[in-house]
Amino acid sequence: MLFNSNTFLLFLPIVFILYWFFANKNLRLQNFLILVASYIFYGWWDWRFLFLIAFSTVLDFISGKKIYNAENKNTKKWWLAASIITNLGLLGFFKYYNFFANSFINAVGSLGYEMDTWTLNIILPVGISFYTFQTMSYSLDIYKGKLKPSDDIIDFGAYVSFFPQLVAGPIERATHLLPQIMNKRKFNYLQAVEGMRLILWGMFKKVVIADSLAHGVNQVFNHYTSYSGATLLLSTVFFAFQIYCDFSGYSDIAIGISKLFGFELMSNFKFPYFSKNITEFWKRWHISLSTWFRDYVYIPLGGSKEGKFKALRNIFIVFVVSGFWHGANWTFLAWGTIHGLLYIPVFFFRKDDKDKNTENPNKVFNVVKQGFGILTTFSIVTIAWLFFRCESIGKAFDMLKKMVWNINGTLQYTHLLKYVLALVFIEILIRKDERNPVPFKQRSILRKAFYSILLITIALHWNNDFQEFIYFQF
Amino acid sequence: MRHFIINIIKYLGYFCLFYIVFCSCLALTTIKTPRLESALMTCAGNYGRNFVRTKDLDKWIDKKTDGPKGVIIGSSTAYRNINPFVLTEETNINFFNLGSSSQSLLHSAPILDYVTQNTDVDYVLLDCYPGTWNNNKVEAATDWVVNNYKPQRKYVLDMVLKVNNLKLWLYYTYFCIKRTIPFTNDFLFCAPDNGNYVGNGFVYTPDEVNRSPIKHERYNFISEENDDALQKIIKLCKEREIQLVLLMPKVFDAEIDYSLLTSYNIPIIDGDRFDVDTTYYYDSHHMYGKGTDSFSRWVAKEVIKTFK
Repeated sequence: MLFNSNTFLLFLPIVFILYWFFANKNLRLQNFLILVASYIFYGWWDWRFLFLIAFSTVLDFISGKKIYNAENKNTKKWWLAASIITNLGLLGFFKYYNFFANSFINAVGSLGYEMDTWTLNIILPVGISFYTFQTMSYSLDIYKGKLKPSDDIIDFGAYVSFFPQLVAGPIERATHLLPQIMNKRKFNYLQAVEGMRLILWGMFKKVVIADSLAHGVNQVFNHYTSYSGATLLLSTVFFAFQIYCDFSGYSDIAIGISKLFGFELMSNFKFPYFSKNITEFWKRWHISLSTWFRDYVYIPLGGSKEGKFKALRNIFIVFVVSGFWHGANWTFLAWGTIHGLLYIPVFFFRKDDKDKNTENPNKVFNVVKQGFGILTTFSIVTIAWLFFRCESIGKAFDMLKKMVWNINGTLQYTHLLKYVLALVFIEILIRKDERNPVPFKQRSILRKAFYSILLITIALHWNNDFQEFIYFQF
Repeated sequence: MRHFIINIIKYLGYFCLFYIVFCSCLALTTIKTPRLESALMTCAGNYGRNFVRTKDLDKWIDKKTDGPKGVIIGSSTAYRNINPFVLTEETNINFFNLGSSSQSLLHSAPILDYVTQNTDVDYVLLDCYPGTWNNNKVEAATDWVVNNYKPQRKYVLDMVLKVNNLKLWLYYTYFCIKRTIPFTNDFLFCAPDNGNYVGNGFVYTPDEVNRSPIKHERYNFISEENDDALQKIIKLCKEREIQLVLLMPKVFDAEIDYSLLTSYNIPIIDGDRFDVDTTYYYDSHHMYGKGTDSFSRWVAKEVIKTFK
């Protein structure tokens, strides 16, 4: 089921009413309702893959208990290994089998040996990368002693399959979400209003901006040879905004829906395109994934404790793995590598905290410096997006070449600029207070009018051929 | 919780009022410029032909003629392929072409009801392009909502009720409001390379229109609502003593299950019998203007044969 579909517009109020009016006095019933709703939500796409989620749930529920109750370290390790190998095995089979099979056949072929293809027609289960990471964090946190295992399979099942964030995150840690599931929730008016606001804003980003930009971007990327370098450049910029609105829109809707049900999910995006350098960008983009990699890959590898070069190596590993997490294609690996490479200068020329606080007293200088930082970061991030969007590295380089050597020519799709400008304008308006980004805080009439205009534009862009969220494929 | 639900209901009330004010302000901007309307909503320019067509239709309805009157109705295969002037010349029946883009039987039924209530129609030529038997319905309905130059009429509301799409309702409300505000304007931007409106609902497609590749298609399903609409049209014609004939347009490289329509015992003109190759067509079913003359003469002969 998609958030931006008519079915979901019916589904959500039904679950909301059942949850607060019929199950509100019984926590177990509420959690059971969440579990059933989540399975219906997921099964709407393909019910066969419900078995996969159920299997993952049962496996980690058992292994969590076994890890916790194990009498010696070795048994703990064995159970942790069993959980991780099975989870990664499932992910690897569904997501990477064809990629590795093809790559191997091609590599052998380049040496002059012909091999039969043994790729399979495997459907990638939606959201597998998200919920697998979520369940792995559960086992890892129990192993590290940060968490006690859940005693109730319904609670744990609701945590693994929690429908607002099941298919595209934010990737929630058990330490954060599971206690909320296990404790009684009370309806909170302000939380629910904030949830509605986030749902509206997320829908606007997805339905109005991302989907409108998608038409132009898809057309240009699918037929790039027919367009001028200038149009290719503009479309790459559009893609940067499309993917941001698509993904952060999904996260906002997920966080908003969770608030309606009394849950707080972690923030996933914090105005990433206003970042002044690449480090800041990664503190603001897909926060739940970057902190996951920080806690479960970067720090276990040694983090930054063992000198700059090892820290750089660790960061590089994290980015390459992160690129690969996005999909089974060399382009994602290239994207991750580019981001890893961008970190090198940051690491070697990074100022100490002392220097950071000594700002130039000239305000104009500071504004210009900040603006320059934002523009530079956005530009390099956008170049990396080119690799992310293309089907092959060769195509990305072709497009890049055309952008550099053949920049002249007709500039098409400029009419889509209005969507980008609208987004930038609204983000400037609301980012003054990043913790509570609400426009016209003191003027309720203006605020209501603003939300009504968002609602009208969403309705006018509502399409019955619902566009899937980009991150569903990961 | 109660507070939350009451506030949502209150906000919905506020939203309705806001939408009316918003529409009025937007409509007023068209006194000066079409820009805001076309950016935020839509404008007649997107579907300009129907705007002229509905005006011509009212003139045609009001026009008193001695001879019989006939209506050609259907999708773009009707308004692009059948020239009503040639048909009138050949049959002495005064024809008007009421086709519009993607118009299915579901849309044709209320339009036909409106026309036959307001003037004496003797013949109806119902073009049944199979691509519309099961389409999403919104495009044609939007066309009729946006392009009613007068305050919205009942047949448009009937269509909106049938299609029942959120975007369509918003358009409908907007154009209802706009048509009641004096001095508002409609700006037409028909792309000339996509056909020239000639009159009586007919659009002439010039040779400059690029030829599209023909893909193999299969049409073996008619939606229930379209089937109901066909039955309604048949009933309406019987009640008002109108002679009805179904025209199956020629579609290249397609498997069509016409038995879905033949069970009603209505005379059928099978366009496939029109002996022509793809030269006159720019895709599997749309004709260039140059081919419409001979096709319309052929249809006229078939009509005469059928109604003898």
